[in-house]
Amino acid sequence: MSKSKCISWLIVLSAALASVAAVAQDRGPVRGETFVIELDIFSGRPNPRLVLDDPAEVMAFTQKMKESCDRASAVRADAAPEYPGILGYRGMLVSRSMDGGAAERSFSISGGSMRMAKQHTPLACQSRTNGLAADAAGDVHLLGMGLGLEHHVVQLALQKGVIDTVAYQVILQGLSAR
Amino acid sequence: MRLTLTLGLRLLALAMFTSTAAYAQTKVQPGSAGNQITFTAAGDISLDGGQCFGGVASPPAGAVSVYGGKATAKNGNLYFQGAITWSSLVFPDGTTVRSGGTTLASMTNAGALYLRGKCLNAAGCRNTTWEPSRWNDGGAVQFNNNCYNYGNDKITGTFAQPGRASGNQSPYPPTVVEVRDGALTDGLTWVGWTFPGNTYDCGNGHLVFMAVAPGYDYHWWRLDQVKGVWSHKPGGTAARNVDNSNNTITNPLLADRGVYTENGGFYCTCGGMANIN
Repeated sequence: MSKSKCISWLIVLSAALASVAAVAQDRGPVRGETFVIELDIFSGRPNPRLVLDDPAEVMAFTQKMKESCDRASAVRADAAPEYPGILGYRGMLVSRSMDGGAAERSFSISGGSMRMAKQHTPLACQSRTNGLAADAAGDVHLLGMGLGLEHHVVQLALQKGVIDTVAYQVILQGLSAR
Repeated sequence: MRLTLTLGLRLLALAMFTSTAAYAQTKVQPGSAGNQITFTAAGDISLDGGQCFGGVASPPAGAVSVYGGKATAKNGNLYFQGAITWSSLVFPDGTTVRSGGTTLASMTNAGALYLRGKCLNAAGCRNTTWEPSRWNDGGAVQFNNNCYNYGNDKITGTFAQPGRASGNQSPYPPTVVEVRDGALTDGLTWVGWTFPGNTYDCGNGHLVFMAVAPGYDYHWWRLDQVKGVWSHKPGGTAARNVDNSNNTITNPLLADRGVYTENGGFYCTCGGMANIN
């Protein structure tokens, strides 16, 4: 084999290996937290779901969540508002998974309050919930988070085409009524 | 033992509600239409046609008294003045019906019926009642059954969609025409656009109402026959018997329905037996 042919093969091989590495990176195990957010807005139709597994989107979401949790107050279960059962925008139901594991229902957010399974508290809120006693259902309750996290998710859902402008307006109307 | 009696209305009252006799599994004929009522040993009232209605202060025109006016009958339906309590283990003072040593039912002086079993008809349609414990389990039943399941009183665990069981599911976003078509091909029967009243005679089954949020979603309500009020289940949340303003729903057209503003009409459906998925 000539030297030039050898170099060509090396180039092809390197490109192939790089391609395999890139694929392996794309399909490799997911590290850290990922979230599936169900926008609880419909009655008859299944609710839309926003999947957050892009690292930048996860980071932006967790940053917002941390800000919201840090400003919230913890309350006992009997003082926490019930999750609304109304027609229209009700809230968001969030499942969380760690390192590509099975998604577990982690928390719900509605009108600036959060009900969270203590066992599945997201990392961003753990500093806020450490030391809090869970209620009989294993949940902790936070109030006064503000609506920033919900607005952030709704904007992202619209941008990603998970909801259309009609659903977007219904959610904004629901948030403004809180 | 199964006795079949053809009795006058006065005897019907005595046969159904007496404090001393055991008349379980006795067939009686309440009206001229010929529909018969069977009171079974299990504590069910079984109707050849029609349903039981509770909380009916004003019975429909032409209904005949079967218990001193506290209950009336028409076309095989039974209308009780007071609320009906299904699967009851308590039987407040009043007249009672017993089978052997077991009390099967009682009726209070205010016309409230306490029944050990349920009210069923020959088509197998369940009488709809406000029974949140059946739906609001905070788990699989609640999350996987929606307003269409609840309206039809049928748990499928599939978030049932109008028309899906019959190959006629409407596209998104739903319209009144498409959702109505889907429901009708599933076997619901059309009643009309205007409120038919809470004692409307479906024959078999019960009333439901549908509304559409334009460009967005649809929703169903059902008449709970035992109290004469309506209830509904918004998506995967808990079933509730109030509207968006927390008011009791006696007419869904007048209720606060939030964004579900467009009238989708009233229908009859056979509780528990509808072809939905």
